[in-house]
Amino acid sequence: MIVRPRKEDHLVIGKYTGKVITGVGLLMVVPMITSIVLGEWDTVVDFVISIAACLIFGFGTQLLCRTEKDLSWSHGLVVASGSWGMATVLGALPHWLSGHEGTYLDAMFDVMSGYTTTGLYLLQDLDHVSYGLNMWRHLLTYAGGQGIVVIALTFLFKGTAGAYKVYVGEGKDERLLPNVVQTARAIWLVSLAWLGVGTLALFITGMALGQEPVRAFLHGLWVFMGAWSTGGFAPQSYNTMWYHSLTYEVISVVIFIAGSFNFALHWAVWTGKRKEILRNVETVSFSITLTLTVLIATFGLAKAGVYPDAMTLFRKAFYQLASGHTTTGFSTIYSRAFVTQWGPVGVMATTIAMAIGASACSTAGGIKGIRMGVIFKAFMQDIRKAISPESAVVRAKYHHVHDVYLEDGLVRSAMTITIAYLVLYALTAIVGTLYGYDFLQAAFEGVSAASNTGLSCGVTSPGMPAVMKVLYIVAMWLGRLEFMSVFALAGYAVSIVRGK
Amino acid sequence: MRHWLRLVVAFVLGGALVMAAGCRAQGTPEPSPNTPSSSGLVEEPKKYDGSTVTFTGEAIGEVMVRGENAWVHLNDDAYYLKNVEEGAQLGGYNAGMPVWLPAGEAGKITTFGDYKHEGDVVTVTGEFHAACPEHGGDMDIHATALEVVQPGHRAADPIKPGKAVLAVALALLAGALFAANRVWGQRGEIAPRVRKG
Amino acid sequence: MSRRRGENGITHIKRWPDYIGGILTETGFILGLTLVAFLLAVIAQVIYR
Repeated sequence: MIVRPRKEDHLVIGKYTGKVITGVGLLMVVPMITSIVLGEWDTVVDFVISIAACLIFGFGTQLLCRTEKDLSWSHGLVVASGSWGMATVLGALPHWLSGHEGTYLDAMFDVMSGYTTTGLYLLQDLDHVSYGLNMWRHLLTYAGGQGIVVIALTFLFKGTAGAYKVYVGEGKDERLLPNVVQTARAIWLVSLAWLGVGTLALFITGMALGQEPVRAFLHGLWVFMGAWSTGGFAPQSYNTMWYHSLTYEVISVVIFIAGSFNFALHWAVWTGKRKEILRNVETVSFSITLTLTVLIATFGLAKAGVYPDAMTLFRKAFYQLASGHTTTGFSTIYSRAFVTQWGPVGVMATTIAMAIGASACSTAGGIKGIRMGVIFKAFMQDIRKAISPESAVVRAKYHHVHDVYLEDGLVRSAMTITIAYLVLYALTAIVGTLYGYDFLQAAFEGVSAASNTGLSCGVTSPGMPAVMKVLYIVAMWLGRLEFMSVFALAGYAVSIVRGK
Repeated sequence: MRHWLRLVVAFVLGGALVMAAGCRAQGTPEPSPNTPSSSGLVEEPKKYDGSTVTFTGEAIGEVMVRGENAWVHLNDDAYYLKNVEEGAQLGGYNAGMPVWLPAGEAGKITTFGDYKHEGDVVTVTGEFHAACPEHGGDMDIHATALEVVQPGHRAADPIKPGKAVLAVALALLAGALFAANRVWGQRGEIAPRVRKG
Repeated sequence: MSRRRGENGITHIKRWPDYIGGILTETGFILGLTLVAFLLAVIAQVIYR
């Protein structure tokens, strides 16, 4: 039986959604200040409108929804996905007002892509957008990587028990420290420390590569944000090909792979457990699958003779594959070059890498290393059971900060989510094919959206059918929040209409 | 019944936004001046690899001088004569080619395209590489000479009066709601402030 | 937030050597993966040339 939500349920959901949206409004102050400093007055007005709209929604709902009730688990899920939905609608205002988006749907596509750290975009004439809008594009992808709920948790929520439920709803379930607000702060600490180091490294490199100081700094900051959040936005339409530099490439690879690590892993390594990086199930799984997919692509490209020597082969194959596997989406080749230059082997290897994705509780997307590890271990355990005497007890464990024994419930949930991802990948590929795109290309692009990667082989474009844009938006949303929250929101909508 | 009201408002607003979606004027975007265009080169890299091409486009972003030579990026997209900030029709993504050329030649470019500028339109002639051995396998053009075809200019993007009025009105409304929240809202939870200690 | 800067706070100065060590460990691990990929490219190029 479906229970119709009561007034109190609406109030508590409205109240906390309002808080998150207030946070989004406050976040827009940063790009507004950027535009003020650089004298981009029309963009400043765009941001004033957008900030006001967010605050009106935020304060309005908080005024209307007054309740003392704390969040339950289902509320947490609905608040997480509902906030992301609303943050997308309102966060798209600066994009839309800039005049660079064909439709409001395109603007929402870009913003959902940003929050979910995907990196696909429909914005046109990127090379002529303001610094303010570029700041917003990159800031929202950095914020999305942290989790916009984590941000709201840090600054706006009182440390209620319910807060943890929204945090889980956003696809992060690790507690680095006993308290959820402390955990949020620890996540910030890791991200901000890397922000400092990474931006500085890119800034200095950018200057050495011939950029003006202001541009070198902004590019460094934005490329850091695109990399760390495994987002993939870059300030120029050429993406990271703009820099033509091995050093810049290596630094960005280090940042996006580090960004794809589980925050619990960072915290373990940072608090003295250095060996964890070699033992952790996710880094082991990632290293194996990354090396395998790089192997396929490298040998495929070498056989086809696409690149003249080992160095160029390494730079191109490793960069795109690492970018795909960490679900970043930076690219040093043209989108269409995946098809016209790399060919089916390269496209396939990249698609597999993107589908697997990186670590849980990080900024990355995809099925994720921990599930690959758990499923593989469970499979091996079943084989060992089959060949052992009946009386033998076969136990298996994996290492993630601590040793964890495999239990059926754990394997089951890993399988469920994996299957959900595979279904979503298949769905996006099939719909793309039905719209007349080549199957392999439709699969590449669909997996890229659903795994929050953002590499493109040219399917995504402003002229793409609106149905596919909507499908990709939903796929990005589902993939980032790992299904359950979005289903909870859908269930909530259904229960309003049909519940008793 | 407040929540119903909220839903209705949300749907009306959402609907209005979707309606607004279809309302941007359509025109014919500026075609590329090149044969093959940058897109053509990317579509058939093998065919053009090693051949000499003449390429015209808007200089974008910046010049990056590396010793004797320099990188510039030339866009031959729908915006190479007039960009979106100046009111050009939307015509898809940017498209262009990186060009590696002597720093002295690159120095002829005075205006680079960005938010505030439409860059110089320049023509280069050089060798196209599908996977340049010298530059990490990048697709690029190695040019020896550059000619400025049309100088760039400032692209003024004045504040639209309608937008300014809307901004003031919304800001006032947001301020009023903030004040209302202060007076009638729940204590201690609206302001982004850590109250303890 | 200043109350968290105490002896046990996560931003306390005495913790930073560990944090920087953490960043360097992570960087080293990633550069290791990069080196493996480079070796693969060298082998592939030897086989197919």
